[in-house]
Amino acid sequence: MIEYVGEHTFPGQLGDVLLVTSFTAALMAAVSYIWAHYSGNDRLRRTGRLFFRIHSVSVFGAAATLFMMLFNQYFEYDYVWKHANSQMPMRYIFSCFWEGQEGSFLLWSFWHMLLGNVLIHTAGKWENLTVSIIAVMQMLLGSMLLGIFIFDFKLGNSPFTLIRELPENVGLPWTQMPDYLEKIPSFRDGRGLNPLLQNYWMTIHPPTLFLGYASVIVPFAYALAGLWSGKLKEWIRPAIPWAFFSVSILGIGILMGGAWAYEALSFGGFWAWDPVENASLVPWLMIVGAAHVMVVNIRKNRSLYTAIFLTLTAYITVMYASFLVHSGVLGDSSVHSFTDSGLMRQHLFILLSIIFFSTFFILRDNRLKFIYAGAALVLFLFGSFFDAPVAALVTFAATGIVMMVVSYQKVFPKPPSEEPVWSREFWIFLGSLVLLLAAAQITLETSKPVWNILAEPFRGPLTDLHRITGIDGLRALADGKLAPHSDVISHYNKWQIPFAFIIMFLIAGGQFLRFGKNRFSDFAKKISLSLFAAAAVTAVSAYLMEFRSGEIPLLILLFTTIFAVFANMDYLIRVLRGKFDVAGASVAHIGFALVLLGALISTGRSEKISENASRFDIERLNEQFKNNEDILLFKEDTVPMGRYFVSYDDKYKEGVNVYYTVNYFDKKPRTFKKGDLAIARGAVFAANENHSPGPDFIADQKKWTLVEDPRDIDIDAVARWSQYAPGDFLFSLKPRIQLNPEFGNVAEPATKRYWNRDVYTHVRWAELEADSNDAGFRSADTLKLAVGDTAFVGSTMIRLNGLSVIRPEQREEYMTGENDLAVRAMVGIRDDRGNTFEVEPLYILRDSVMHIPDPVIQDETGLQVSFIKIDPLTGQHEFSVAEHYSRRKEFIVMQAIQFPMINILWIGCIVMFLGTMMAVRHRIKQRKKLKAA
Amino acid sequence: MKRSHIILIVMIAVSGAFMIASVSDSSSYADFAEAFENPEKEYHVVGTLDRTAEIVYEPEKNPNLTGFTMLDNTGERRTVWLNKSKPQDFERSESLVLIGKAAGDEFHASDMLMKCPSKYKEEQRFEYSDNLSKPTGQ
Repeated sequence: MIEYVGEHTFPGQLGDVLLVTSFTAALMAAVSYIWAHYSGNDRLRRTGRLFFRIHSVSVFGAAATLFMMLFNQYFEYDYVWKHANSQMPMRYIFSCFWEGQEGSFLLWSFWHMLLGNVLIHTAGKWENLTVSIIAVMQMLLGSMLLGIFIFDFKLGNSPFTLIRELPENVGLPWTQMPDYLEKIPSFRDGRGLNPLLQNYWMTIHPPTLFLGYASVIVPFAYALAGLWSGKLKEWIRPAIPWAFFSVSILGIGILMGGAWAYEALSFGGFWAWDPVENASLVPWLMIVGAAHVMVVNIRKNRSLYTAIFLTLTAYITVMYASFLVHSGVLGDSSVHSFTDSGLMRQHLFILLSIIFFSTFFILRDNRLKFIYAGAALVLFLFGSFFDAPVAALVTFAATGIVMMVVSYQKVFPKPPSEEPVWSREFWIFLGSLVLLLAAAQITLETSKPVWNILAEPFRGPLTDLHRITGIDGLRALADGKLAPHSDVISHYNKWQIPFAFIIMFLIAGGQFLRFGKNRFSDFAKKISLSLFAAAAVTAVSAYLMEFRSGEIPLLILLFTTIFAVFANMDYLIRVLRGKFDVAGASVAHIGFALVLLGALISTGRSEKISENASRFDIERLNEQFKNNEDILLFKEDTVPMGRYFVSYDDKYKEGVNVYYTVNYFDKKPRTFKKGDLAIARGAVFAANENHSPGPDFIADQKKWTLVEDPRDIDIDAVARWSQYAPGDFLFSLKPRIQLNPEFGNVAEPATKRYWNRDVYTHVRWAELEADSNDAGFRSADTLKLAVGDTAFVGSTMIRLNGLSVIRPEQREEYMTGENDLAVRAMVGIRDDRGNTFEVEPLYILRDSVMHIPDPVIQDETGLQVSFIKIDPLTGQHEFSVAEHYSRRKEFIVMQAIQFPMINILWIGCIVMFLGTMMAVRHRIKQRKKLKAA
Repeated sequence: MKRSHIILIVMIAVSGAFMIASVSDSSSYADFAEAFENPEKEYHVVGTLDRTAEIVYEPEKNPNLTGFTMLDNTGERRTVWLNKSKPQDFERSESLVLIGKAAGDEFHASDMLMKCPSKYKEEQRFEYSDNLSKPTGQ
């Protein structure tokens, strides 16, 4: 036994003991509670509680231990080393905690545990089953953290593992050194937090999102408990406040992610339909649908199956999201690319267990349950031992779907009649189906990597189908090579915008329909005010924002969101008369409509104002290539960009950040007075008369005369010809690049916020290290030039004017030797102000074999030109041209996007959050009243 | 026919439609050989940056164009023009996914996903060597 120096082994052992205790206690709690349910024994229920309390204390203890280890920087632990370092400010310790997979599972488990404790106090007669279901989930989640080997199979990854205990390190010589912590420098400091994540959003976004994820378990537990105990609809009433709680927290969690992406990451927007974002949106759509259908059920006793189905599916999609993100399945389709941590099988098992239990209980009929469980067991064994997991999985899914259809047909009670068309319950039902479809589309699209895996047993039929239909995607699928759409964002938008406007329309109309039968004429009368107002506002704003005819879906969405806002405001004022208690729904709907409206305007009307204004047009290279991405800014040049003039003035370093100061100026039309000078086409011109310039110099040229001899003019003070002139200084932005040798440098945007638009700026490329040799020249460009050809080096133009052989009588003048063959190149140089120079580098071949380099330096432009190869065959001669570092102006490549009206989106977020919280409060009050009665 | 049946049929039809659209609109992963056989089609090509070849990025000429050479997973080497500014830390990238089409002898990518080795994947080296045996102090 080696005594290691300086290791803190106690916290790790404590943490592992706590994790095992929490796992065991959750198991005992589940057993006791389930037993209490069947026996009705109150002592067993108290035992269950006791175990759940032990479990709670252990989970809390494990989280506290991990936090303490991060805080004290015990870098001998793998998790601490990977996620913390010694320069970490206190506020990021939390971020380190949940940066890694183990920490985020612990956070998730922590929230489950808290929610379980709330249920112990509030669930009443539902306590036995709901808390037991949570305890089972805690076991499953907890198993991901155990880090125990069962034979060859590793169960979970513990965050309390020492680095020397990692499987890849066991047996290495250094692990046998008692003082390895002192001797190996790597242990002195951890790797630290990825700079991308060093942001206050990382402190608040993950816990909120995980609380949202975790909270979906409560309605799920209630629904399962209802099915389990045969109280098919009684579970809904207590679950409603929880469902709206999930809507609220998960919703705000997702939007925080969007705000983070917008503010700190250089995605160029707040939503990119990235798999990780989608994975969080889908459960939200499902729980929103579920919560609404639950309300229908308690009012009109309808849509029971839909409510159960959506509630169960909501939690399944939460688990599926975690599976996608953590299993490495997404592979190449996401920039986030979490790699497989070796837990894919275990995670899949958890996901399938939840699907199994949900389906099992929804079958209700004992015979169906028996068949299903039997089939599942056979498939599980088949999949595990016969190495055909995919076939087993597909059969499992198909069996589940068939059985659920059968149970719906046979076992579930049906309402005697269909709901009336003009009724709130029908509209809500429709809405939930649209949400389901929207969620299904996102899930299918995001899961393409999963399709590739699942399609494997069907290669034959898919290939045949490809032959028949000619759809290339089928062959790609058969080969397991189906890739995401090449323009993912537009593909999602194409499908989701119609779903969104249907939902908006239902939100607008739904409020004015009462539960039960409505007369259409009454409804039309009530809704007409908002309808006409919305139509008018839409028309005006569509005109102002220049919507084109090709944007019909966007226009419909614009109209329906405005309609939804107006209708709900109208309802709030006229019908509810501002009664706070019941206003939650309307407020939340206004908020949601504002979120979509803000997203629609800011993204649909966003404008990349940075544009390549240089000579080289890449649309010539490929017509699908675009120039309007990024702009090049030379230091201290002021150039027009969109409605501004911009200049890059300065850079400075502060800590790990390099800030680039970019100043924005007003853009004003200018007038020229007689005698004004301007540079155009590389020459100096003087104005003949006072005039306002036209759109380009050619149109304006009649009013200018060329200055033949510009030698007396201070050329630096003369500006390039432009229709506009920079006006007043408006604002300064400081986008930055965070230097991090460990994780790679990261650009962070800076945004100027106006009430009606944001100007978003980030540096796309900057030269972080100076590129120059000892003599101060940058690395040379090799140019191949025929006589008459031109090329650019930096902003300087090079032209090969001519070649001539040095005749023997010129040898003295050119200082070449007797046996030299020398060729003189006349190279023209024109700088960016239009000054021209000529240099004459020689190509010298001594004794017919040896090439003698003869670099020529042109002082004014700081160019070093060498003639390195003559190619008489092609006539393309090679020159090497290097710029002197001091002559080259520093520059940055920047992107600037204008997002109009994005504040509507942020306001919408807050309004929606408040509205859903009001709804939660209302539902809790209602329930209390009902209990009291 | 009951209304619920109509709704059911519409649901199934819409789901079917986006399954078909999803498959028929997708791009597919391919190697260079396949992409150059079908220059009219857009592909996702996975590979690695050829570090021996030059990376051409001349923002003075056009900041939206980067040229480099990529090796696909079969080892085929092609010149690539990417319609983007040169990504930060491009040289350190571990793998690349190009989205674009073949054009002549070159591949024109409209977008690219890049993975850097240390961002999420762990790269941990704890090596002991004698000359480092004494802590040097910071």
